Amino acid sequence: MNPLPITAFATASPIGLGLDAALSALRQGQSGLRPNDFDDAALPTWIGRVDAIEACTLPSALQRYDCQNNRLAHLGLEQDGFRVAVARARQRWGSARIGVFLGTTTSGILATEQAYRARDAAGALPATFDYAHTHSLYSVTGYVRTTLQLAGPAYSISTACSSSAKVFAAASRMIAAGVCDAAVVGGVDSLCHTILYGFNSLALLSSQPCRPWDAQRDGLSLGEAAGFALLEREGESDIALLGHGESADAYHMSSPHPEGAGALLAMRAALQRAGLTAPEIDYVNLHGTASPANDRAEDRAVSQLFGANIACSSTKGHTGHTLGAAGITEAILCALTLRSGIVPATLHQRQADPALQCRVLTQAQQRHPQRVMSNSFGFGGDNCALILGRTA
Amino acid sequence: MMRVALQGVGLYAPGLPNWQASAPVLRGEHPWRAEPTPAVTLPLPSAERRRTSACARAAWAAAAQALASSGIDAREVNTVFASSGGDGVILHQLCMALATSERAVSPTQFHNSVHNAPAGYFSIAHASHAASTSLCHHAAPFAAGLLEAAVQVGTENRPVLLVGFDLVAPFPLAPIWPAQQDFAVVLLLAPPGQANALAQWRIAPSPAAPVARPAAADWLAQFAQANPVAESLHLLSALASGTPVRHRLPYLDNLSLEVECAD
Repeated sequence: MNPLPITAFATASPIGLGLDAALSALRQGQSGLRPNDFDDAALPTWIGRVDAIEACTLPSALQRYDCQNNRLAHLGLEQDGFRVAVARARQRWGSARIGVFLGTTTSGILATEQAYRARDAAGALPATFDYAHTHSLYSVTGYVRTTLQLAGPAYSISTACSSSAKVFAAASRMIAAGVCDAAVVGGVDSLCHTILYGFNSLALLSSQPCRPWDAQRDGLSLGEAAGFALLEREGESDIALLGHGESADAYHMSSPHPEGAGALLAMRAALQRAGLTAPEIDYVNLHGTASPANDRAEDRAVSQLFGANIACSSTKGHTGHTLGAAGITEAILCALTLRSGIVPATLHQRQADPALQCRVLTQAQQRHPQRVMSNSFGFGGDNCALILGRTA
Repeated sequence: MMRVALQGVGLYAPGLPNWQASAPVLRGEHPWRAEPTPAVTLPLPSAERRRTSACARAAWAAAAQALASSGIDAREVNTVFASSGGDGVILHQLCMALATSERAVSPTQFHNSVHNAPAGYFSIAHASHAASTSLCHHAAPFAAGLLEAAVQVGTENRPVLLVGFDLVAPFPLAPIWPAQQDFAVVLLLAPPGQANALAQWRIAPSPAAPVARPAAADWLAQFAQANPVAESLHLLSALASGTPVRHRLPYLDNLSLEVECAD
């Protein structure tokens, strides 16, 4: 594929609001994780929160979309001049030529959890509960499309933890097919009881800040984030999408293929689409959730393709695993890496797992990579790899 | 504008057990009867098979028909799963569990709660590593999925299986749930020019308003009202009758999806 310019980014994550805050956290190896204090969820784990959600309000004309997840989306859109960039793209291409493709795993499910707790004596949900606007998987995309005054094609992608990586592939195809000239892509997922108790039921939550690639890693730390990117057919930009690859594990619903076979297919597909070979990739941002099986499988795949010496790290120790927002959040961190030359560390590691081949960076380093890969793998065996690069 | 060849159709809904049996009903030759859908089993090891959800089974049943009639290997197709709400049964069970003081969530229900669970079971049962996406649009998941599938046919130059599904949810979700009737539909789309195609279509988003269709049979109109994916029945009705398809499906505010016969 031809490099597709990415002309704007916006991020709100546990390591801060906006690109500058995120870059500063990468530089300083700062973690956004803290002991779980979400609502009344009494689980001994660590989480990454975006505190500013609490004070965020939606525009009065869009109040029917009001829920935790759409507030987080709103907060994300307020960062980094993103609305101004979209307005400029609207002027250039026309609103009907700009698509909106967002990833989410649970969207506003917290609103439904609350409605179930507020059932009346007959067991009915409160009459005020608005499923379509505050919970449905499409509600976040509908909100973003409406508030950005866009009129092109739109849908949500929900493929678990690869959701907001796959939106880049979707937008790239829509632009290649001539259906769109530009697209807002991204992902938004906010903390809720479903994911906290769900991952707890699978014994996948760490009781400490997650430790990717550590010998004693014992699971993940959940987080919440919103991230957006603007892709345009043509445009001035220092960063471009160079390739994307997707595959299915066809192995198990919640465990990765032990040798990372599906992950390998996705990474190879991304290289092929970009017209690149493995040695031309300078850094890999790992999916790296810190679950014992996930890191092992990804390690097999990455070391088989790139050898054990490729610079790589997982930024889950900074942000936590933001699920449907992980793909976009890590794509944005990759863009910051390309811009600043800072390759992020893998935080919280005490002892490298001797069974793993890849030597992940444990200190942030100045390396000036030109082309980087970002991996995202989800339940159901859905894999996506993205390649981003500097355009100059 | 994308051109696609329709290579296979699958249906799985009350009174519409498969494409072959449904075509005469869609032509009005046989009355539609609210008969229950047949039981479906996925070819998986028994432990996995017991864990499959109703959504995964409905999607599988419709997909199997479209693949069988086309003779195309499941491992050669990309898949696009499209649904409004995903799995309302599992959502209900999770929210009920979370409303208790124990909050004992079932691990199987949790991993089945991901929107791409039907896609995951499909890829496992077919041992297919092909790319797959699972998308959602509250009101118009079929139009959203058809656009994505057509775009993938055009850009990836390979067959794409579009799997649309929405099933009913239990009380108290039922009254606000997008599906009031179970329905799954599958279209197998391929690059244009296939000799054995059921139809050749041109597909494009359009700013023009959706077209008011000729009056459909009462049962069909009610079906399309009762399930967001059943909007597809208007296309299938034309296909079954041999009348050229010329539809603008409702999709988004100010945007519909045009589907026109290209042969």
